[in-house]
Amino acid sequence: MTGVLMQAEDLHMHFGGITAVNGVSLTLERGEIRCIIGPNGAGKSTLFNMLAGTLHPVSGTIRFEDRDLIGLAIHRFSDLGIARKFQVPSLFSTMSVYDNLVVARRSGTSLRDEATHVGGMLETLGLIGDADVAAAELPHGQKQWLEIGMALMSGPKLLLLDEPTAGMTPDETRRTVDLIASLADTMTIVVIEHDMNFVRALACPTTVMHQGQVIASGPFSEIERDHTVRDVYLGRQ
Amino acid sequence: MDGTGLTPGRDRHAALTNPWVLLTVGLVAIAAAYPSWTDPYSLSVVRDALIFALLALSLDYLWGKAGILSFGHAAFFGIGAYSMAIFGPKIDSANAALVGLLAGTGIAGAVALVIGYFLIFGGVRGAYLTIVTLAISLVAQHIAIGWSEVTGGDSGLIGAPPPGIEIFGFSYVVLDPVHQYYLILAVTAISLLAIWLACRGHYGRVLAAIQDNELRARTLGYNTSLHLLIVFVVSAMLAALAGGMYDITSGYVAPDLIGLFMSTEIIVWVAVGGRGTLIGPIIGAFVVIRLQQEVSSVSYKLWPMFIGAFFVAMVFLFPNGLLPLLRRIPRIVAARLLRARKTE
Repeated sequence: MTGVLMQAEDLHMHFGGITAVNGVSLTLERGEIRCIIGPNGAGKSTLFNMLAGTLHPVSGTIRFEDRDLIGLAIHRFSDLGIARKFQVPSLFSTMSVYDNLVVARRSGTSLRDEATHVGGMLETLGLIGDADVAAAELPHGQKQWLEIGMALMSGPKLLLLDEPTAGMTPDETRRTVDLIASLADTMTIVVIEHDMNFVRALACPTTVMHQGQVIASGPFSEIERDHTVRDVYLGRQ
Repeated sequence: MDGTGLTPGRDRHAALTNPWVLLTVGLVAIAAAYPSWTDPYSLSVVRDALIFALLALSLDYLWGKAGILSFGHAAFFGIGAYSMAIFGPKIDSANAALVGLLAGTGIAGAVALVIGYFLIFGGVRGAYLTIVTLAISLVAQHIAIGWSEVTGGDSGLIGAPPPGIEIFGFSYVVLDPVHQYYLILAVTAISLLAIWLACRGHYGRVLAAIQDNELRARTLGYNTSLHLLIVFVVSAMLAALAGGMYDITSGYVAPDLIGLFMSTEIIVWVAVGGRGTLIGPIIGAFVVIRLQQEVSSVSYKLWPMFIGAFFVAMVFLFPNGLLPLLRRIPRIVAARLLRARKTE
């Protein structure tokens, strides 16, 4: 599984007089895991929103498997194979965990097929005992997993995860690393994270954003040593 | 059961033992037996209540299942009633009422499609959408009063064809009031069954998901605006169907059926019964109409004040309506019994 899956070029986004994203370009290979890091307000989530269709860039192009995504309705992104997890868990809070996954699955051939598919995901997420619990009643970490599970239900080609470990315990974070690592090669995954231990554990190519621009990109081991990155984000030790 | 311990279609099995399904079946059975022991006047009252129950059901589909509170539903009811009064008498056949119903539901559907398209695809949601639906009722009532050469103005229109069918030389007209009652009971029960069947599976989950978190539903690939528009149109057509049947049975239509007060009454029926429960708004319509009769027998002018106060009291005391309250009663009684035993 090689080749370019998504290519974003020269993306710009403004909110009033504030420039959130300023000329960002990003190329994602099939099967790669990419981390995006940067301080708050760097434009990471805005970039995500553009890649996922929630925001339309002021200028720039986004191509996904040779298809132009600019102007495409949000619901069409899922059809193309793009799934996302929001920064703040975005679930159907009044519905059960099971129903959240069923809705996320969208289609099915039979009820047995539905139970098998959803049950498999519940086992993967470690939520099999919480199938009938309302999503709103889950602890924060499990809400994060449920949302990742919902994104995975459609079998995406590109999975966008915005701060998947925010609010998780170290043990939950480690399990999330294992989950994401287990998905490598089956899909392309882009992760926004502030937890450097998480990024280090994934050991994936990393893009650093600052004030709406990409200031560095490369393996995390190199990024950690980059003076500019340490000045603006990681800090000097 | 599969390896995960989850039963396929468990919701469907649960539905068959749902006490509200049994309650609904019981109520339909009582309604079906009602003509055997009642007088013609009481039968006509229950018949009209069944029509209003269908109207309440149509709003519950929109408000309870899709989360769109509409103050414009009386307008669609009025379109159905006026269409029957305008087109029905012009047809000289047993199909006249059928033509009136088709015209009413068709016009209501088209109006809802145009208005709904611009509102829903324009991204208008929540309170803003509700406020615009307020305008629908006001405009519709002004048209009903102002376009007097067609609508009869303030006096309204009198006369409607009886329900019937004429096909391949076979002709049958439902003239008997008891038969008309059964026809309306059947239409209401079938509408209830159809919406319940549609909403208890995947489609119901999708509507619940859109109501809960529309952006999340959109990112999962659902064309939420299209879903909401379809519900808006179908709901309007159901309201028009109720309006057409009202004109058939009552024989008159007037502007007060189409205005804001009527729209508010529909909302009260749904809120009192319990929105989203389908059978609740039907019960709510019966309860409120019965109250209306009692209050109006004291003074007709009291009713608008009473319904306002009643609605406010319901919102404060039982915000989820009567049916969810009934659901809680066994638990409350059991808890009190347990407490009483402990104190002994």
